[in-house]
Amino acid sequence: MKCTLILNFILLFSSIIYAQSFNYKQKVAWSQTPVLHAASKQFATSSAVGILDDRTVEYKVEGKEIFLYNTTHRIYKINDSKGIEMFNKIYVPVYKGGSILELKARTILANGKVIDLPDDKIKETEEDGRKFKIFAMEGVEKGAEIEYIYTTKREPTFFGSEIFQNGSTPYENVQFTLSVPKHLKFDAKAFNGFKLSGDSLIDDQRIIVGHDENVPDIDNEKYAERDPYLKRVEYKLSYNLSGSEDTRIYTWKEFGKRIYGVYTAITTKEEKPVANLLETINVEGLKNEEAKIEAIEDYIKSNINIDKNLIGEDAGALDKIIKRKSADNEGIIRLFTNLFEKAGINYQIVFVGRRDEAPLDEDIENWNRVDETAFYFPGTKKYLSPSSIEYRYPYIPAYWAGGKGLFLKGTTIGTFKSAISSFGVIEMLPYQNHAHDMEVSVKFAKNMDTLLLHSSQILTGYGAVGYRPIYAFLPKDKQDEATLEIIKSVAKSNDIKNIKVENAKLTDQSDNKPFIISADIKSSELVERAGDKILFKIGEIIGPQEQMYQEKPRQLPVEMPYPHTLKRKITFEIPVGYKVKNLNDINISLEHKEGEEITMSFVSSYNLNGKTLIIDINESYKKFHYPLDEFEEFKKIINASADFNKVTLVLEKEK
Amino acid sequence: MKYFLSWVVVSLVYSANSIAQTAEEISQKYPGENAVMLSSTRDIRIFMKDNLPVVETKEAKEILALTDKANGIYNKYKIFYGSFEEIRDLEAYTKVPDGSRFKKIKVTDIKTQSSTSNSVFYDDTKEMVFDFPSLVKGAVASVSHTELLKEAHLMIPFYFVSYLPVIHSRCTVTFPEGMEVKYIIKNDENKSVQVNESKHGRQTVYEFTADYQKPKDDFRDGPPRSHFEPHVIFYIASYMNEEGKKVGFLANVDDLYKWNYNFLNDINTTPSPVIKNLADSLTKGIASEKGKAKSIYNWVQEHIKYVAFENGLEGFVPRQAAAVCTKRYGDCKDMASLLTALLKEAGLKAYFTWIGTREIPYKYTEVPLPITDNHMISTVQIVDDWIFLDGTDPNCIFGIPSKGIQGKEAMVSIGEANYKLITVPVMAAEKNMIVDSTFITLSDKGIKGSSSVYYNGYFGIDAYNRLLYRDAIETKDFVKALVSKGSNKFILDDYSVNNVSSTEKVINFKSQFQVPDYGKKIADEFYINLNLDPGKYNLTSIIDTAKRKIAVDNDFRFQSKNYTILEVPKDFEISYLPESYHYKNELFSFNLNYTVQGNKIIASQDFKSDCMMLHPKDFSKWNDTVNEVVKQYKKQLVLKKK
Repeated sequence: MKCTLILNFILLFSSIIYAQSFNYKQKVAWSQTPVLHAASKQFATSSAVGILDDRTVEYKVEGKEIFLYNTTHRIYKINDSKGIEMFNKIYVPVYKGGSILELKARTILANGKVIDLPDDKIKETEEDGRKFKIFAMEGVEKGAEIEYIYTTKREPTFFGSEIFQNGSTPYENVQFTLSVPKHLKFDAKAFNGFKLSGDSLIDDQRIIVGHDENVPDIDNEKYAERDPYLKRVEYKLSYNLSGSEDTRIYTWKEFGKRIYGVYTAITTKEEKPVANLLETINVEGLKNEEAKIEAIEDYIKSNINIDKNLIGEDAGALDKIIKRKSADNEGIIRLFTNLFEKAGINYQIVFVGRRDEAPLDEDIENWNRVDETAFYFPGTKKYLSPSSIEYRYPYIPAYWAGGKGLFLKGTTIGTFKSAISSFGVIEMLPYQNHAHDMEVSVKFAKNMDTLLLHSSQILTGYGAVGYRPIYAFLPKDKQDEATLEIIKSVAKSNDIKNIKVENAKLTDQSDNKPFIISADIKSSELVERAGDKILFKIGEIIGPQEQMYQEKPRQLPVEMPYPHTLKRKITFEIPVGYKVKNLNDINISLEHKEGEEITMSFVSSYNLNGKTLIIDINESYKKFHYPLDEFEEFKKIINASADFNKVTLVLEKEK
Repeated sequence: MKYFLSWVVVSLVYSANSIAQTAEEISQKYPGENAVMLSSTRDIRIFMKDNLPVVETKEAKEILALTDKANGIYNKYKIFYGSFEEIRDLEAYTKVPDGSRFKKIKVTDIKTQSSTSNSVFYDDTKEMVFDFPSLVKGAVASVSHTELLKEAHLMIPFYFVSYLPVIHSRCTVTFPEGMEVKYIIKNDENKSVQVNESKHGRQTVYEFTADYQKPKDDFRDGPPRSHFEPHVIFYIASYMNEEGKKVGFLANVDDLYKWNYNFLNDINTTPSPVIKNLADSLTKGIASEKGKAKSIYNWVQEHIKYVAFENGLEGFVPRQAAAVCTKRYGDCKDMASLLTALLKEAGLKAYFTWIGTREIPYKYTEVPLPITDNHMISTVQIVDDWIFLDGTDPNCIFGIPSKGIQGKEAMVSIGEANYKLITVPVMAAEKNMIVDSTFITLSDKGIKGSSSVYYNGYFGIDAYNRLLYRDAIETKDFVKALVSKGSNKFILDDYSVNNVSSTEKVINFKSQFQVPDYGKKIADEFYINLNLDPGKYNLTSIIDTAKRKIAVDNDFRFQSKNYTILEVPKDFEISYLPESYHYKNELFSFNLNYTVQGNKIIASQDFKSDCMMLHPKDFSKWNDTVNEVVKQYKKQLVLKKK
């Protein structure tokens, strides 16, 4: 991705200027007599500045076992009240099965006085199933620094990632040390300008160090996803030199094989319930593979409670899932694979690299990054998400598509099932599938204060994905409320009649039937008066539009959930005896081309046919990603629709 | 009703067929609902143990799935409890229809974890969480558990509604002879709660039942459910001890005070040099009592940050003032402790004070229970003035109460046996005023201009508070949002934030701006609406009275004055000037005046709201106002080329 390179280059360039090389032997120690650091000039306006974020990952052999030690040492300078609020409460994660060996924290007041955190003030809590040690820092004031260090010990995992950048606090120094016994060889890869050394052998440990200086915080921007662009390092064990030097371990290939085995396995106890279930779903007579896929998916998603946080020790056993009609994510994937197997459907398991998160990387096989799983069907070249109950084939969460994924293609060697894995792009469904269209006809009531509108909002593809769950999961009264709110985006009104909602079933997604909400609206909202002139705020019919009229310097490229088009047609019966003075205000035309192809556009135009004014507004974003250097163009298109939103027609009595 | 005595789970026994019938009837009553709660019951038994009353509660719920969609929506179930409660005998299962019978599938895995809340940094609230299996159409999910309450003062009210419509809800209280239990039924205007009192041997039983209760729709700007959903509050007024003597428990406000005061026994009893030195330095050279109190209050507001640890009794007992001072953080009680100690040290009459914020609908005199308060402040008496000092609001103006306690009863602790209930004043609208003067001229593309806006009272306090937690970049965004008008095409050029009075929290925002495409120039005419910010204060939003059945809770009364001054270009003259307009009802008033002074047109607006809690019965007053305002806002000014 071109944009990534550009951004990297910018970040790299700025850090070269300040770069000092980091020598791991000169790590900042926990000083017995801490002194305050000079205030950062570069980050003077930040509420707090990270003076240091030093993370050490150390694998140590103890007897016959190996343990993983993580040490984190951080120092923050507090510049204002917000900074106090940000750092007077500290959360330290406690890993499952791990323990905290050392935890020290202190506040160094602006006058140099040191307040140590008493041990008895450290509490333990749990959030979303994760345990934390928490404590409040004492005495924190403006100009103070807070410093803490902790070391955790746990059973090793041989994969890891450390992110050294966030949206709230800039850091002057970030450091990373990976230390492993010399018989192990790790690979590490830095992203987005973080700097990394090769490994060197010091004493009996193999060391990889990384660092960066003056790391800014990155703002959340409109139409952007920040996480892929944060400075980070990923690492994993690649060779066990005490075994074979030549055998690379923990590869994607190995991962694919292992997980494929887990997901496709079936016990004898599970066989029958799965077979019975397939019979219940009754795919036999269905016309083709696609219909079978859809039937299996809809049955599972309509009948089984799929909950990744399902409470249950053996929530993954298929017989239990079928009996209890409840499954966690792994369980539901296994149920799908086994139903596909039994139904003879050709499928592949795909591990998804989400576009809104750090992607899966082909070179650095960080198994921990694998989070979401989808299915790919070579026969139809389309995808299915087993765990997202509001989606139906071929739709998967939009950010799952467009990035890279690891595809597992099953093979059978004798009776042994295995998989071949390879990286590939998870194709986004084409932009023509996703529309937010609208057809509105409008005329004045006799009193000339009120408008009579007939509106149809027509949504397809991902455009409809956000709406259908309303009708699938909410009680009827809440559905009706939601419908009214959607209609009112055309014109506020308490007089809405003949409401029609079409193709609201989740399964209507599969063949992309348009989801349509239509109604008759009587509204006086869009009409104003200027003496004897009537002002018709026709632009407001398209609803409030996102705008980017006044933006800060852009840091990130444009990332949208999905490409799409918006076609709106407004038919206006000009009242008898009146004429419109400013029809030309309707004409807006902006297009951005890449070569010959228009990749984004906003074009509005009109046609006057006697007293009938027909306005066509076509907006399109044919890609979901636009590089940073196209941001200005993107902004213009976005703003063009916000400009149309302000178009007001002036009606004057004909003389 | 023998279940009181036998203490056996009462679950109504249905056959699958009768459930199916019930399900059909219920579906008709609640069309489109995916599930209902068939029954929600709480049976409370109060008995004497070790010469003290003990409360044991049996709670049971039955959820009926009306559609298959319920499986996936209503499976997860949580039971919350704190350190004063012990949970026992939790049992949960789903009865799944199986032909004409039910098949019972038990919940086998239950997880216990900490339950976190946003406002409290650390507490001991835990939750037991599990998933009901197989909630298919016609299935009935059941859960029951027993809860032992270790502190009988902390009984909680019973709500007849739940997150699902409740077909039958019932709460019973059984208590022994010699004990006096009182109850209060709240928000039951429709008289849907049936009360039945009966005697069973030496036990008295109060039974409260209600059928077909559906929760009212919640709104973000509405008060909490305690303000509008029917519930019953009960409490032990007195009991008979082993000697056969009647002992007051929570019979009245005196009893509550006694219980509250217990928590203060050991607080700030020994003199502390930290407090003395700080009080001395803060009041040095200040002669007046008010001046001293103000200096102390401002210091605590600025230096003590809100961090709450609520572990068991920690939720009730303030910490020692000296410790709060060194740590620089604390919760409301801790700040009250520090304030009271410092004020006393400075020779002032300062008192710990319990109070319920506006979230709580009860008065001490009506509900003399711990549930009536949730907050602690310090009250200082200067001559005949009672001044309420809330340490948790970093920018509250000395002398006025923090906005959340306006109109509430304060329980001021004068001494061990002496307290006062004082009603905190409600600030008048005129005290909370925004005055905005905006000068605009026509530009080639729209309008440009400058504005100067002053925030006073609670508006000022809020602005100071919000700026406190914003860095330079966020401050610009904040200012832009505050001063923005015309349309979302508003471009903020220069701006400044001026702290006019940091003690009275008057803040002024000055800005230069442009709004391209605002107004409409066609041929020789120019049309412009001088009401640049019609959406402000929701002035154009009608309350949907069919949908909304709960009050709108405004934080305070206020007034807003807006002056928009348009300079008429030399080559233009006024072709149409909208007429002025005045509207007033008991709660709201609105004035819109158009005047011409030389080459300037001044549109001045004055809106006043004398309403904090806008109850449904008064919605028409709001809607009438909006209807009038909207009509006026539609009128545009017309300029014509000379």
